[in-house]
Amino acid sequence: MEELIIDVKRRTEFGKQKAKSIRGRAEVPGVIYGKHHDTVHVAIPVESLKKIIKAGSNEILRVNIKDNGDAGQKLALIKEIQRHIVTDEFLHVDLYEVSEKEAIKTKAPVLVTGKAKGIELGGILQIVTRELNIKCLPTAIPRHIEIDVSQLNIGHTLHVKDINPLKGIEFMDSPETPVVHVMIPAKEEAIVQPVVAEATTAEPEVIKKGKEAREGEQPAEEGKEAAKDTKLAAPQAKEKPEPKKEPKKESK
Amino acid sequence: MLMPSKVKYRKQQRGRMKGLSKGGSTLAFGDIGLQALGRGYMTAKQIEAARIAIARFIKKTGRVWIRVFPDKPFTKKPAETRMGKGKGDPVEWITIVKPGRILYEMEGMEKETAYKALRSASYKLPFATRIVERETVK
Repeated sequence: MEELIIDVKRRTEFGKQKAKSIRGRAEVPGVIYGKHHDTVHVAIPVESLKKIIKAGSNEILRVNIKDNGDAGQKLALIKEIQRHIVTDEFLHVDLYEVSEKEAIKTKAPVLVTGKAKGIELGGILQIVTRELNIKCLPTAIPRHIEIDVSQLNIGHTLHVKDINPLKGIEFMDSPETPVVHVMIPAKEEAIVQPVVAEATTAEPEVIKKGKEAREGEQPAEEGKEAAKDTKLAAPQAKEKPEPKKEPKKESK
Repeated sequence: MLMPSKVKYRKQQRGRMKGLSKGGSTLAFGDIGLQALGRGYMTAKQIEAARIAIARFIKKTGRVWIRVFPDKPFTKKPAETRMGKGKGDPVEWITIVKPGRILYEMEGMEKETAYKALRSASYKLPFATRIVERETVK
């Protein structure tokens, strides 16, 4: 795996407003922390962060920290990137400091290769687990874990135990964890559905409270309200009297 | 159409629609999805109409997830009624959508088909949307 070099500035400004001003300078507030190391707050240039993301999320970074003339270097991995949900603007970056000699737990993305037999028969390929938990040395982190699905038939599932073991990498997930599955195609449904008027008017069941005494009181109250309504509704009823049924007389 | 099977209260207050979507703003199941950029009420009818629009394009291939559920009753007073006399009756079920919310997710079809399907679904909705993709491994 390649090492990427990134220059960052030590950050001494904290809080919401200061973070906003850092973002205004085309930088992203970030933090570097590790198991045996002190936490360092940094500001990372947006452009260099974009380059790193383009290269891959699992790349090891050689972080050069500039601090008023003093410079330090750390080896780190991107732990988390926070983005704005609408504008996709970078909000914050977590970097995890690692040691070259100590194995770490991380995640590696799954890359599906080949075309499953089941797809040709009408099945649907579903990736159940997109990232696998692995344990390895920082220098041995794979960019992705390739999984060949060409032998998968309809209804078949590929588990973690079926993946070819990689040198120096230990899978932390349960061996029975499903990774890829070829689903049985769903039955064709009638696409043109009539708009059901009942569905809009139908009301769901209302969950009632336990006390029966209160329930007993309700009808009486409702009755009073109903009486009021009839009184109020009475003038309207006078204005529009119901037409008398004449056909009965005709029949006699 | 989607609606709750049981509710505690028949009617609800309208509430406010401030801010951005609190959750459900990242792709959780599929590779490609439709994300709301605007805010508003999304009715059960609109959810169903957009789902049908997607189903027309993808036919039997692929899988679709609906990430919103209309669990809020929307009431209306009858026409030509004087004010007062209490709150109107529930007429439909809605969900409040805020910017950033993922509405539909899809997987298992060609990218071009998925884009067409989601674009046709977006025409059924009362707010602006965009199509989002998962960052794929190269």
